[in-house]
Amino acid sequence: MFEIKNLHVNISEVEKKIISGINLKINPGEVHAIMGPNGSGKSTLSYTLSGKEGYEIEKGDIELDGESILDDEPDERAAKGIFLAFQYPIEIPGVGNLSFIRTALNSQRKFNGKDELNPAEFLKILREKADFLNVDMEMLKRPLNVGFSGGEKKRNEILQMALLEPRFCILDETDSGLDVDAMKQVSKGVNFLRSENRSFLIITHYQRLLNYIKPDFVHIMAKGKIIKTGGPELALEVENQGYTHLLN
Amino acid sequence: MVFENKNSHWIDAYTRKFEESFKSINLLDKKKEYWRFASPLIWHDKLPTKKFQETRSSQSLKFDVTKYSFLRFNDGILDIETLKNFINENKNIEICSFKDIFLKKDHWSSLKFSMAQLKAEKSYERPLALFNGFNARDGVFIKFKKGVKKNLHIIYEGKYEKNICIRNLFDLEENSEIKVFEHFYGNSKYNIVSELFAADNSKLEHYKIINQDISNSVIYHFFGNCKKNSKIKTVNFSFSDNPVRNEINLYLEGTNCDTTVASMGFGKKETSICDNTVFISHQEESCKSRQIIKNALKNGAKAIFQGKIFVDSKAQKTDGYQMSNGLILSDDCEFLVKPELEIYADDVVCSHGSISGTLNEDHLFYLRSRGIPLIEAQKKLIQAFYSEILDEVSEDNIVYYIQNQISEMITL
Repeated sequence: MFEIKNLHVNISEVEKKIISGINLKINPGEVHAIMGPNGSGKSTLSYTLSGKEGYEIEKGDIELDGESILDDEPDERAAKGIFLAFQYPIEIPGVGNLSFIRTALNSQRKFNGKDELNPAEFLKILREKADFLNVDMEMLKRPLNVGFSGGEKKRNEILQMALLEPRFCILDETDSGLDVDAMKQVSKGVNFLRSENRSFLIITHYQRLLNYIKPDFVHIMAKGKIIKTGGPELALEVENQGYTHLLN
Repeated sequence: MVFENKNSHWIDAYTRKFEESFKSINLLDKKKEYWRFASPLIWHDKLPTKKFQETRSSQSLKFDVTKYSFLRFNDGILDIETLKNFINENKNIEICSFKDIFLKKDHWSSLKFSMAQLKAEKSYERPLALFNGFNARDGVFIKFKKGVKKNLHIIYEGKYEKNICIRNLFDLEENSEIKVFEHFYGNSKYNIVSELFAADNSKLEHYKIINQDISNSVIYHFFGNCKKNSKIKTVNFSFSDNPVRNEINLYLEGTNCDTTVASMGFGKKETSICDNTVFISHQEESCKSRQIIKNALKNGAKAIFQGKIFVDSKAQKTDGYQMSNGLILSDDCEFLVKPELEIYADDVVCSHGSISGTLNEDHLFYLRSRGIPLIEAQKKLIQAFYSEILDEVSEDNIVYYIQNQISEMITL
């Protein structure tokens, strides 16, 4: 179970409070969506959960299975099963995609006391997942995300998710920059990964992604707080009426 | 060519000229343009000769012996066994040790000797190349005949801590294709001059690796004269904790020459200086030159890049490029850069740039967010920083060797 308790976050660089007391409990198998206007703190929340530097926790806690992860480094959080699918996956020239994914997978296995995979074992698993997600193996031989289209970058994120098999997945505006077909493909991947042991936090501006990935709960976030929680119908309400009536 | 009386060897006249010129230079003059960031004395101080124990173990670079000929210098002297083997293996190649040149009254090299150095001295004063000119005791002079394809591996190992001057000459005849790998380790302090004469349509790939365990300074002068359609690439790797200076001058005197100078340094101590002083002289039309310099620095290490692209008024359609990058891994490091263009033709494309910075925090976070621990993520990014240099290497075993060296350096 993943739990956020009374979380308050400042961005240290600008000394500005962005999150002002969020409480959220996500049980295994559940899909939660967070929607909200620009500047409401959605991306700050995703970076804070995954441990990015510069996000200073003023008070509150983040727990995975009842244990605080606040002192864990980003790589430790990842190895414990937290995965952030980036809104804008980073391009890193000179780092091979295949080598990156294999290092990530083996680092996590090592952290969890499992044997590392040799190249042949890794490639076998990779091929299976890549085929299902319609990821071209040639694309994987290129430098990490360099020159990838928007759809390729997001498919690469989902491929990493499929290989790393996290327990808690944060999708930060995964639909941004995607056309309808690409969004369907990415959603297919996410739906395939849904299971009773894996939970999701989907951050999005638009209801359309939630047509493909059905959430159990929808939360509206504004000014660093969750101001309303409901079912999928809340996303439709936002789609039809916008956020203004909820903010007033 | 300098002529002497009948009783003296033709090379003696050069030697005397080098010595006279050297003595006319004041090495302490701090106004010398190309020594403003590092004094020549760093590479020139004499060492007392003393024997060391066996050289520290160095991970050796493995080559397929069926594809490479091999030469070894022990304490600055060409190993006679490797020379004999080379002669037996290579009938289309003329080779002679520098020492043996003095035994020959007439030798093909008399028409080439020092010609590339003299052209390099037109661009600026090269006192330590002059010093080499009258102190070199050995070296290797090789003529690769027309159409020859050859891979050559040269090891310089010094068990003694002493000053060593070596003088090489590589003469590539038309259509020859040569790869030369030079590898330095041990205790000696080196001053090398390698002259290159690349005839029409010849091709050279030159790789030089200065290992981390070399315990003294190295200055390597690489002076090349390049003729029509020649293709020259020199890729230099330095992992030394001691000063290394690559003084490179390529004189493009035929049309359509294509040259690349790539150099990477990894300095991890305050005694480490990685200096690349490069001068590319475009003398004819439609030549291309690229300079790519990458230095990663930590713990007070210093790097220097002085690079010039000179374009003569005849050298229309020149394509020149120069980029230097510094990866500063601690605040006490310095990357001193002096990029220059000097252009007298009006139809050219020349660009230069220099960027220094630290590891990108967003890149680090992305890697770590996938479970890669900090040190591994740093390794990946440092290797990525050098990737443009490694892309220039056509031999996989060199790429793996360099990647391993980088990996070891990061953890130190």
